[in-house]
Amino acid sequence: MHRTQLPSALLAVLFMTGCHDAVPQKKLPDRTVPTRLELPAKGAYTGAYIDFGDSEDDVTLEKLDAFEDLVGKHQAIIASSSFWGEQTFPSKNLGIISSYGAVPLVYWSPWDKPYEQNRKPDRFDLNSILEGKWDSYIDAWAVSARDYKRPLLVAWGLEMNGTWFPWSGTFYGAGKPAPSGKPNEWMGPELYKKAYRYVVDRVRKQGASNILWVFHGNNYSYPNEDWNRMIAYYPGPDYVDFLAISAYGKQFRTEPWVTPSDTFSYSYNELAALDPSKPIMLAEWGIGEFSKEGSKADWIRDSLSQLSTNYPRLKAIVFWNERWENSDGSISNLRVTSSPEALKAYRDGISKPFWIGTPILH
Amino acid sequence: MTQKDFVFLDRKGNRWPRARLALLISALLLLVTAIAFLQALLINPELRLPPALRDLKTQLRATPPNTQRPLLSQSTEPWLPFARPPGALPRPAASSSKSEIHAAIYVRWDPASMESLKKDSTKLTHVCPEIFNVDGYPAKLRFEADPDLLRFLSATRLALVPLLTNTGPQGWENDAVEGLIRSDSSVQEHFADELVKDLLSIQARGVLLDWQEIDPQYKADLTSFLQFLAGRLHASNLQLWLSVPLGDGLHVFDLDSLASFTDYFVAQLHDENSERDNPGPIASRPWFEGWLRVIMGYGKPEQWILGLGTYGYDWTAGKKEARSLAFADAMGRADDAKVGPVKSEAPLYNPGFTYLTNGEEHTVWFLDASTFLNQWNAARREGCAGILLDRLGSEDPLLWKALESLPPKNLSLRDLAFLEPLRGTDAISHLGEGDFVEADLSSEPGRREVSLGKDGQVAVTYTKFPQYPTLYHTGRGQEDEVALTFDDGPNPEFTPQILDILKLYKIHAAFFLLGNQAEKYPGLVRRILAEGHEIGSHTYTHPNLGTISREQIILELNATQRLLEWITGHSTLLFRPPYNADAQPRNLDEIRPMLVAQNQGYLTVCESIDPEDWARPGADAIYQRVKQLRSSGNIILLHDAGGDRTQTVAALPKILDYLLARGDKIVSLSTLVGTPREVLMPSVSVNESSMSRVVSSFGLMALHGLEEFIWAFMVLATVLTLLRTLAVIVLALIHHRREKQMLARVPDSTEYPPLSIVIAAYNEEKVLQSTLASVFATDYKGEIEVVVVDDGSKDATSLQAAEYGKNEPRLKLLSQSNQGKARALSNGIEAALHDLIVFIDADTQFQRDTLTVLVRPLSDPKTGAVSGHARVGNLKTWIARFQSLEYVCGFNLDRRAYDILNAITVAPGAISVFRRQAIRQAGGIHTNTLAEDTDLTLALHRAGWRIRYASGAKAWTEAPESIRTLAKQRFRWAFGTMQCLWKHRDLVLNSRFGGLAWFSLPSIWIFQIVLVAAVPVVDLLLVLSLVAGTGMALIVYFFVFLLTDLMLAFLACVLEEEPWTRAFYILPMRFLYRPILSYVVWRSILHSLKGAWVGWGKLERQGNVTLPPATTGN
Repeated sequence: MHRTQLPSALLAVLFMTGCHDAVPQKKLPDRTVPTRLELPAKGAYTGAYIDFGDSEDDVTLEKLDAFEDLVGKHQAIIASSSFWGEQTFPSKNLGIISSYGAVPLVYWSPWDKPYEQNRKPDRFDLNSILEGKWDSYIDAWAVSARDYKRPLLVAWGLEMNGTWFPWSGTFYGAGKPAPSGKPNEWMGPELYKKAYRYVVDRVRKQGASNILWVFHGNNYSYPNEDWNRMIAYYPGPDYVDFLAISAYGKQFRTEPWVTPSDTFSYSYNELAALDPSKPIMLAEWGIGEFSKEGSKADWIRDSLSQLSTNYPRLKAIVFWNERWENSDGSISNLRVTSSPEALKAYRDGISKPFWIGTPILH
Repeated sequence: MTQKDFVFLDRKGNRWPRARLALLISALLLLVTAIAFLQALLINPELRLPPALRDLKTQLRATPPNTQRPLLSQSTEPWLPFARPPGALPRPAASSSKSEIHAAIYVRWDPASMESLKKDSTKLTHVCPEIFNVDGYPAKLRFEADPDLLRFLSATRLALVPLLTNTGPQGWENDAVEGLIRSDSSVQEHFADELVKDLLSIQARGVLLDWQEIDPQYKADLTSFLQFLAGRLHASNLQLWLSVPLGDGLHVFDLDSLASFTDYFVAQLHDENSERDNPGPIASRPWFEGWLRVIMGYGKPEQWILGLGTYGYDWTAGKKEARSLAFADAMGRADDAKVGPVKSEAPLYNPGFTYLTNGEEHTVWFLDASTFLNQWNAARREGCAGILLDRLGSEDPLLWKALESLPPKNLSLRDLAFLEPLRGTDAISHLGEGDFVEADLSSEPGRREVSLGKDGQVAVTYTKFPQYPTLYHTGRGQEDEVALTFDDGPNPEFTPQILDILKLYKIHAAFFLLGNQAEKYPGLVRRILAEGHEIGSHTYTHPNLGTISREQIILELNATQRLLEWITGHSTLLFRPPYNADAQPRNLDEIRPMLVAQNQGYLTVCESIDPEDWARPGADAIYQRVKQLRSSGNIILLHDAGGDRTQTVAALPKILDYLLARGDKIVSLSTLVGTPREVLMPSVSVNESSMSRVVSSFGLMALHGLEEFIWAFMVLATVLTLLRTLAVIVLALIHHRREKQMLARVPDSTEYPPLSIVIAAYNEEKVLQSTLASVFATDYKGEIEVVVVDDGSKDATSLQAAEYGKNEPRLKLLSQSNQGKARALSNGIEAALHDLIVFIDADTQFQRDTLTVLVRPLSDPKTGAVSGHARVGNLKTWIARFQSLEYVCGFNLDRRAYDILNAITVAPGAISVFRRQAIRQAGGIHTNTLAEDTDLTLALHRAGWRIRYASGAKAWTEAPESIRTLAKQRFRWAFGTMQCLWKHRDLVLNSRFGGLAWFSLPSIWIFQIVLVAAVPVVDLLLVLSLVAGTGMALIVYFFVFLLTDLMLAFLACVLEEEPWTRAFYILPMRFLYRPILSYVVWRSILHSLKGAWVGWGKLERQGNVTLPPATTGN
């Protein structure tokens, strides 16, 4: 407003009934923070890991909003990674996720740069953890997690029953007899369990009771041997709040087609057997687009349908939405947008009220 | 009576010299103060930017010489998988019949692109702007026409082949393209229709399809889609150009099949190492030749256009992505870091260097005119169709010279000598990141030595890097740091709302204040600072700095600085230029004003997120734009003033919620540049410059006070005028009703008392006879006599009166030497027989009923005088017509209103009746004012008489017909009125005199003297503010006044049963009267100061009243 409006403004006040809008007294959102995640009695949460670019630990609000627009449903869970190689707590990511209105699922991986699969144990070797070398990092991480206050799903050392991550039992003596000498106890899995419990105990000691611990294996064990089954790695009911698996359809050009029931049912049963009552999560699921071998759209439609009917203890699923180029130049396109049909199948399937997009928090 | 008691007469004659001296002294004082003030403003405040923020260039260092040069990044030869077995296909002979294609990619986001195009368009044949892209699921064609470009192209013969890319906000929209090429035919038909329609609408010659990172499993789908699309394009006489990536991306292109319908392939022979790869050459010769060899095995050579890079990359060790550079940027870095000689030589033939800044290691690879020449030669050697420069605006300027002078097959060193001197051009080199900008416009030529390699390739060695005009950017901060800035404030309505919101969110912003706003609302400035925000200078009046002189810029800056210092006790180093705060200026002219501020010690703060809230696109649009632009920078520009900012205020909480939700930290500018707030806004300290600061503070305070006064004055004047108008309207209406009631009653015989009519005449030979005739033609039932007093006329006035008297016994003629009207009237009264004296002017014509109506109010014994209703009788000229209207609505309406309050200030000499007793009690007619009628009327009030107004007693008088005579008359009136006001000043606000004391006399003071005197000042302000473009409100104010005038005029015309259309004369009248009235008031003031005697006719002469014998009969 320039100076010369003063007299006319005064005139207006004199001769008209002035109407002034008061500043809307907006209140910032309530500061009381929910600390407990309630699991739905009926239905299951749906969430996603969204292609966050090059690294798996770069969450942006833009991507969350765009994904929600794309699939037509809010996400109850947003998954992202926290690599030990960064030596940080992902405060910023969690802030974005909670302001988006989802519960974070953090893959907390004792992994060093360059975060490439199929590498041997690095400086975060399980033994070094047990030797206390990383205690201060674990403690600091735990304090930050505790200060976050909100419920937080943490999967430490995921897919330990494979060969592609350095914390897998296969790198620590694999199926050799455990020092205890007990049957059904093997060297590799026993060390993993010990490290798992060590980490969880340290974190709990810092008072981070808002963490829900997710025991997160792969749907099939590689190698597929007794010592490498999920039960061998299971650290016990006191250390686990959620039982979880990664379960994918065909991801690579060289793989065979896998049906939805082959993908989920065997491992669900294996997981369910670990504990009679704990809730089960599909902590990663998805499929690449290979139109010659099969229809991704059909696979998604069938999967969502079966998941909602055949697996009563399933309380959460997390879709892996990513596209990457493999070393042979082939593309693994796990995005929902890999074809208009796939997108439609996902949108239709996930739109069912069984799939709950908003976490129930207290 | 002599003139020694003449009001305002200064007999000793020392009032004027004293007044003059006082005026002179005040003028001198004012001048000295003004000079001191201006000087204080011109003395530059001492601003000291911390060295960390200055001289960014000193932070650049060459890396130690032992740093080894990176080799080819790919040890294998990636083109091998695509190579044909030797001799697999017969190579068709290169034909050079067609003219070579010289195309270039144009981008809208870099102003340099347009600058290059404008300069060098004649050397090009095609231009390829990025205006089409595909995104979405299902895929949609997006078309963003570029009107600036199209306008430019329409004046050239350049062919337009726009790019159709698959870039989206989140990267490559490969899913969208894959969806499209696999979708059913109806979707593809629709897409092709849209594309063809859009291409035709912009008169494009074809389209350059540039789709990247397509899944190779869709090779067949892509081929068949492109075949279909080519068919559709060709049907509309449009060409299909296909951009072919070299590397893994090539897998999806079935070149053999595509060659049969693709007009041109564009080989992307650059990005050997992309911004996401490790550092390495952009297009080294082995890589370039390797791929060239391979692609020449597909299609025909004349089907290939070679895409040649013209840019560079700057990789920072440890950062994810390299920054792309223009050639000038590469030169700027090399020059600032003082790197040693840089060579482009065998085997790579691709220049590059490394440097350090703040401990960070940088690697730069770039392409220049020499690499261009080598690559272009290769294209000609192979018989390719031409070249495509990627992209306009980033190239080595000498590239154009190379392109212009087509090289012969065998280049000699002499042909290449033009490459050696590196002269400064208009190219601007950018260094650093962020919206805090420092400019260094100095430029110095550089040099590179040209040589020819054994393989005939052009090699260069940069021996001295040119210094180009450089913009140093800083303040990029962390990726999640963002700062809010508000321009143009403070504003009393919106700034507090914004401050409240910021307080609620507990965040701090920066306010770039305008001096003239801050000066008006110093309280808001203090509040901004007190609540922890930063303030910066946005100049005093928001001029376009590109159009004003350097001195003016300095004045703008200093005045604002002094003002802020005075208000807050803090200086500020922060400066934002009005209009142009884009961190990517178009040309040097946009930088120069910035440089002035910089030399004054300011830190220029640009912006990179501009949602253009000033244009009021809607609160949601403002929010959405911030969302879209967030990733492009970290300083947001909003406005808290300069218009209705309701939308900005509404958008702000949404913007803040969004920023916080995406994990941003909203930080202050000092945080962004890593400096304490106190450094950017230092406290004003007492030092040697404090004197000029005191002076400027005092001056600013005085200016502030003056401005406040002027505005208070304007507001008060407006309010008073309106209130008075309202009162006059109401009172005049009451008078109208009462008068009607009174006139309805038939007068009885007692209401026709005998009357003496006194006429003072001075040189009235032309009018006197008809005046007398009209008087004697009256229908008045009582006795009358007429006394004509000839005030020493030089013409035949006496003669004419005497002539008339021969047949009219009721006429009495008196003669006197010229002594003025007052004396004439006094003498007339003495000679008159009756107790009721009617005064009329010698040029006044009566109506038959005038006298009858005039005397009726005298039936009340308390009434001492009655004013008649003078009307203008000569309506021949505009001037007279204006006066007629003025008489009707000004004088008449006022008098009606005053009658009700017994506040009539003048029973005019032109037509009025007085009781002799009242005149006697008032002390007779005095000669010490020029307005003896006003004087007499006021004296009557003093004696307790009531003065009435008889609006029906009309007398038609002759108004001045020229501006000169009008001015003369009005001067007499004005001066006379001032004399009377002065003489009777004790009446004002004297409770004994009711309406006169509280309404009519103050009215004259305010509305006829003070406001009229203020007219020149107000008009000057009006013109000035119109020139400054801020006058809208003043115009409104002006029209409000005209409107009230018009309303009054309508009312008057209705009351007097005049045609209402006459009221419109009031509009032109205002424009004529304003200067005249103002002139006479000022002249009167001057005269009263001078204290000189002013006569109504000639100066008096001593003389006697003599009655000529011819008229002494009866």
